[in-house]
Amino acid sequence: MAEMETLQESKTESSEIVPTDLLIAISAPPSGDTIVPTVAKLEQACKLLSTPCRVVLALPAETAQEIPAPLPGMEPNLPVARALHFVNYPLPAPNPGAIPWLPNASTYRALCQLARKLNARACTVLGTDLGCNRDSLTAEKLTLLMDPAIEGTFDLAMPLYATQPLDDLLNKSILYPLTRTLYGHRVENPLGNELQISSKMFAPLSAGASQDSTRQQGRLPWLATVAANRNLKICQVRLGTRRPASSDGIDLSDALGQLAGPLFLDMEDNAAFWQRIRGSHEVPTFGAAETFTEPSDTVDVRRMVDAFQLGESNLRDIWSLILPPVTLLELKKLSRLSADEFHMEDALWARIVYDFALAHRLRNIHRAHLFGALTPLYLGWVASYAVEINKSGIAAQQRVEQLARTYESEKPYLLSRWRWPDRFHP
Amino acid sequence: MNALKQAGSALDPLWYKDAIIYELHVKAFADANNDGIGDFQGLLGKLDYLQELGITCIWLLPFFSSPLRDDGYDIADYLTVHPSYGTLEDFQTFLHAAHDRDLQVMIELVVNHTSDQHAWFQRARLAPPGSPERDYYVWSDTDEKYKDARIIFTDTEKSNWTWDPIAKAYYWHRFFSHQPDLNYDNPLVLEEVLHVMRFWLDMGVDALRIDAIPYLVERDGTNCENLPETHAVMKKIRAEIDAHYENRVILAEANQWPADVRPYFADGDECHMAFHFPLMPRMYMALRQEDRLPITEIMAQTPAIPDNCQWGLFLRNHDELTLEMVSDDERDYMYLAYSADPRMRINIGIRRRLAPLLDNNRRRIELLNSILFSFPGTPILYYGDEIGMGDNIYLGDRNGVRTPMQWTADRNAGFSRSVPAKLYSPVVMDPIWGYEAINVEAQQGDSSSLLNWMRNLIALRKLFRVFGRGALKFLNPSNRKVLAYIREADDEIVLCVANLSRFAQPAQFDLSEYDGMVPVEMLGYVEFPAIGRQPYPVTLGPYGFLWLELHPSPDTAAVQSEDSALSIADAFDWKNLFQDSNLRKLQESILPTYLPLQRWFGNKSNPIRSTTLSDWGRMNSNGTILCLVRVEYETGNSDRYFLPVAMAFGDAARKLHDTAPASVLSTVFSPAGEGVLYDATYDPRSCEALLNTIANSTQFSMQQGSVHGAPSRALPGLIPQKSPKKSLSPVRGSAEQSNTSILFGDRLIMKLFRHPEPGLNPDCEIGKFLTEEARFPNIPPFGGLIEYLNQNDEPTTLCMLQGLVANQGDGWKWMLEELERYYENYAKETVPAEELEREAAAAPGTTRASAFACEHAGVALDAAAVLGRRTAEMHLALASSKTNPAFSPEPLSAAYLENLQASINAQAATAYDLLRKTLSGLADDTVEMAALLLSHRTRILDGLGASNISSADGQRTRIHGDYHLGQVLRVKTDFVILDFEGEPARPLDVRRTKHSPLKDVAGMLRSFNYAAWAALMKYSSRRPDDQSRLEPWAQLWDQSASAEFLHAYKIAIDGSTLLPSSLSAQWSLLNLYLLEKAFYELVYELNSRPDWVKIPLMGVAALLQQGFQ
Repeated sequence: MAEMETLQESKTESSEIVPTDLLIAISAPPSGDTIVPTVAKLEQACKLLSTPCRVVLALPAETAQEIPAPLPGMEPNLPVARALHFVNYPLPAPNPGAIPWLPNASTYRALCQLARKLNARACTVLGTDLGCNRDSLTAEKLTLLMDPAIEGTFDLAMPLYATQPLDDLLNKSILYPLTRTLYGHRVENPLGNELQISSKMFAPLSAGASQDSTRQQGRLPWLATVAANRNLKICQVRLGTRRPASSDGIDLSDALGQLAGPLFLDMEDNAAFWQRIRGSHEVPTFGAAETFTEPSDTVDVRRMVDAFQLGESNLRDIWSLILPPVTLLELKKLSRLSADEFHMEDALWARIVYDFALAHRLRNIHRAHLFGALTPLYLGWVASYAVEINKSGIAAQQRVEQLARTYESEKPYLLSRWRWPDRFHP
Repeated sequence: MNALKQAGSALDPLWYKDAIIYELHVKAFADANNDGIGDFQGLLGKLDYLQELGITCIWLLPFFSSPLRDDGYDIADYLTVHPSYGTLEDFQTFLHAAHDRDLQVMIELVVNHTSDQHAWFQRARLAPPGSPERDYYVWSDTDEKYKDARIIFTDTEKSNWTWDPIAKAYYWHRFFSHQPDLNYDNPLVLEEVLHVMRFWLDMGVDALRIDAIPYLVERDGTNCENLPETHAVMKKIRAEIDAHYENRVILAEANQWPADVRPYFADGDECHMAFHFPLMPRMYMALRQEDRLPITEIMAQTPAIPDNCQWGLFLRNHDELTLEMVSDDERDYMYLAYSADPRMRINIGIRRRLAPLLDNNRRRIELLNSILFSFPGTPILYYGDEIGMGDNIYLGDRNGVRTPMQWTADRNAGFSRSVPAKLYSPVVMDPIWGYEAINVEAQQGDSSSLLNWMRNLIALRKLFRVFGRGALKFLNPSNRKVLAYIREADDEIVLCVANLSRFAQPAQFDLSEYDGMVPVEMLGYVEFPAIGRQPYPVTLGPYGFLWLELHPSPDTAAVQSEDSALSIADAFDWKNLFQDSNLRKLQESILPTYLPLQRWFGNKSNPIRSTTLSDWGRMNSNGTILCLVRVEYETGNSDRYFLPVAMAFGDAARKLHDTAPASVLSTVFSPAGEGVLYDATYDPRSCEALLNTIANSTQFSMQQGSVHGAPSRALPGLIPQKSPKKSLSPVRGSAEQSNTSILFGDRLIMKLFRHPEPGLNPDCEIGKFLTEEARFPNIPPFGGLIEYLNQNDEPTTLCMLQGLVANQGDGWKWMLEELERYYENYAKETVPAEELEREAAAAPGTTRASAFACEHAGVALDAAAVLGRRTAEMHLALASSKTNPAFSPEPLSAAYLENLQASINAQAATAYDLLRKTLSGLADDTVEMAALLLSHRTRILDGLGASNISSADGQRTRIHGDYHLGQVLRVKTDFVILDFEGEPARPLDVRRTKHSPLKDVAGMLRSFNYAAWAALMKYSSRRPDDQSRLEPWAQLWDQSASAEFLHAYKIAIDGSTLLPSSLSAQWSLLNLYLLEKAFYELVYELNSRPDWVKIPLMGVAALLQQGFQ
């Protein structure tokens, strides 16, 4: 049967711990019917590692008890106990009101503390649904996510998914281009939650625990930023296709606030660092590129343009607290365009995001209202993007790259606004 | 023991270096209980304001129990809070709230003296003389002790001693008479002080300002300041902190000259910080005098301090603007300039705030703050100065600068809601400075306010660690109204420029050491023109200032930002290395960066537009990949380069990084490890594979074409029969130029042609001909080649194999050593004038060197003669085939001579143009000669045109083509001739053109000239005094070596029809080749080695003198 250890933080003595090479952690409670195939897939992946090593699988508390012994459906001679050892760890309570699929800084903190206690060389963090719905995430791909930090080649391996052109747009329009521009690493999923971190990341990710909890609220684990700040090595691993997590019941403004808000906070903390970064560079990327075979979804551009136009007429006064006149003028012109001819320039969008980041820092308006004001603008950019993708047939990846480059070329605007936030701006 | 230390609120032990300190008095900041006196609850309510302002550390003036006769510096109980300000709990609440906002807190440790109301003093005056209790203070029966100690508060105190009728003795006080000094000769006193210190540090206080530090200990016969015993006390205090606390700081208040303050830093084990008192008045002085000198002078007197120490800088504080640390004249000037009303003066200083001192001029306020925030040290702001608060000179003592903080335009300036009469001090109320005009609320709403400006400046300073931690270097523009300095730390470089004048000012700075960097104005992120070698001009508006961050040049930045790492699945994933994003990175980033850095890359001055991997293929025997790279330049031209590459991982990769970093093209990542892609000529296995390709006539396919090896007939004889692998172990040659050499044991040498062109390489062609057909013995035997074939082009030679000839170095090196000895021997002697005249008058080839010359340079001259003979023999061998059209001689046609003439004219015109452009940059001893040559340009060019030889007999044949001393090897007493490749920068067909053999002769004669003068340059760099005496010796050597060479050459070639038959035609033709070569050298040196320009200039001048005057 699987070897089981219950590791209580306070009781564990380092002298009792067998050195662990790799800690694999499931970052959210899996359901009973996914845990067994998940473990089986991990078992296979472990066998493909470059060098044999001791692997401990950490499951959220209670989950580990659900693993029957022997695991049903497994070959009887599968050497589970030899390859994987199990521990459970207390999964921190999610932040109230947080989007369920968002990574949680306190979870990483708990995992890093556990990894330090285990003297692990690396920790691979995985979602919960490896066993079902993720046929494309093969054991070979999982191995790619287990190797880099064990071998000491990298300190952070972030996931790279193939997505549909109209999926993951908050990431494509704000998170990726903005983090890339700020910190210089082209990490395409800065908030991906299937990843690997080396022991060099454990200390900084554990450190937040001692800080005031109110200051930690609403924070997200920007691992690539942590790594970039410490000059650690980052890579990406292609993990195949991924359908977006369900957004049912999630308000768009709220989502913007929960995703972009923490990034804006992070910008304040790391201003001295990102203002030194010029340009960006790719990070080593492993695994074969994949694409979706089924056709992309379509979106109702007209509704988004309507929302933008409504925003332009209702929120103009609020926008004027955040955006300079030249941007407001551009928005006014845009609001007169029909859905078919609607086109928001990337430079305009990048400057809008920069101005909102600045307003977030300066608290020009209440932060909760800030993202409400950003929502119609975001819809405007999405509408523009969707029209362009449909009309020109340009590859989404190429289009996002183009946007990211524009973010980079507009970075001096951000710097000048950030350094001297004078309202008397053109 | 670290675990036992109590942590501070700051995580960085050097936090104070990056801090922005804000000095405030609790009583003056905010009153929460409306009793008219500020308190901790009021301060608590203003923490958000301070956080928003951006300051990082709050310095609280004394808030302890006190009779308040010196505004709290007269402490009656160190362990309690004055009831007017709140309770100890209130302080703790404030402290925690500050820490929650990442604000550190500094309090006062006033331990030079206490209040006379302190229990220690009350006890002491009653205690018997000599008792420990009595000895807490300094007593004397007379007021004559310590007479050399000055009186500090001259306005109020007449003596440092005051009679105590109860103790019946005098007690010592350096300040007010109600502030008796503690006696540190009593160990109990230090114990008490440490107890007080621990009390506050245990609570979490981050820093202690130790008041009046120089006066702790007194000794007769001294001025009782800065005594060694005082430093001993401070070291004990510091040791206590270091032993028990982390990240805490001591700030010393020592109003002294910098050299006297320096000991308070000791070896970084006494005080962490100290105020820089003398700088402060000098900033005002410099501003008023519009002259940077007061500032630069005092900074010049400021000694370096340990790395863990820091100066505290300030414009104003709670005391008067002290003028103790200025000269009498300077003090008089400051009084006249800044205190027109005598009420503004107190003690030895001026009791005014910042804004009134500067006549409320916003630009002056900004200018001084810009200096404060960019000078090396930690800036300290005095409360209210961030909004430009005024003062009240009608209040007594220094109370005029301690009025309530002006928060709003409401009653009592928003400081308190008490009735105005209850306020501890009236608020400032006049029309200019009053709270209705100047207050926080109004300025918060005004984006152009001083408050917002200060907030932005503070935020900006915090982005750059260089301000707190960097070195300072003053620039010295001729305009002294401009203060300019560089701050530099790690990779941050900031240029700060300040105009101290009320009018616009120009200035120019020597920034040549930052050549190529781009200044970016830091406030608005505005890019300025790039820095060059010329003085950098800046114009500043009245009281203007600039902070310019120096960025690396855009080229460097672009390189840094380019992607340079390749990703592959595993160490054998070659195919993926040249596909998709990896191929893109190679072509767009890696190769354009790597190639120009290689010695063998020819077109360094020509910017690359693109590189393309035109073909590549893996050699069968191992992982070596042969690559052909096409390079296109911005000019539209293109080249092709040959680059064998290999990959290494793990230790092998690390070793390459350590031992041969130049070999690495890029990092290669695979999930299992990090490796490098590198030049395969650094890999012995790859070198062996190349040798085997030739020896075994191997052929393998590339993506487009194929590669094959072909051995010569001589190769079997060159490979040892016995253990060939062992005796042919490969080593990469160190002397890389346009090609790369690989030595195989002591038997073979392989030359990789880095810039291969379609067609047979002349080195191979001539080597093969001379070895296999003409059987000329004085060259290395040709061993074989590797060729690249594709259907579109002629075969391209990639590598050539030759036998390795044991030698004593090349001819250039050998001759330089001879010349070194020659100059060494004759440095003190003089060349007889007739010797030089004789040599100069002789026609080339007609005479030999004089006996005098032979006596002095015999060995070299013998060698020159041998070389002349071998050169002639080489020419005869090259002309020996009647059947091979590539080698059979042809007549020296009129068309050829016409082309030659045109080529020389063009070369001369290019040289003149370049000389004119670069004239100003030439060395002094060269510029005169260059100017002379330029002044005769028209005449000389006309002369060149008139000197043409329209016809001559003689023949053209294949020649060496790039013949000089570096192309021959000294082998015992003979020479072996190398490298028939021709001038690598020229196209193959040009290099294979037939010329008169005199072209090679001219090349070697110019090389003798170069050797003579280059050796002299080297020699006289060590002994410049000998230069002029040795110049005739250089001339003699050059002329004699040339004569010997020519004489031997002519004897050996005599009887052939290669040269023109008449001596004058030979002379004219040789002169033309010499001129062509000398102009070529001139262009080369002007572009590459300006220090060597003198040599070809002299050569051109001498030739023109001979030929055209």
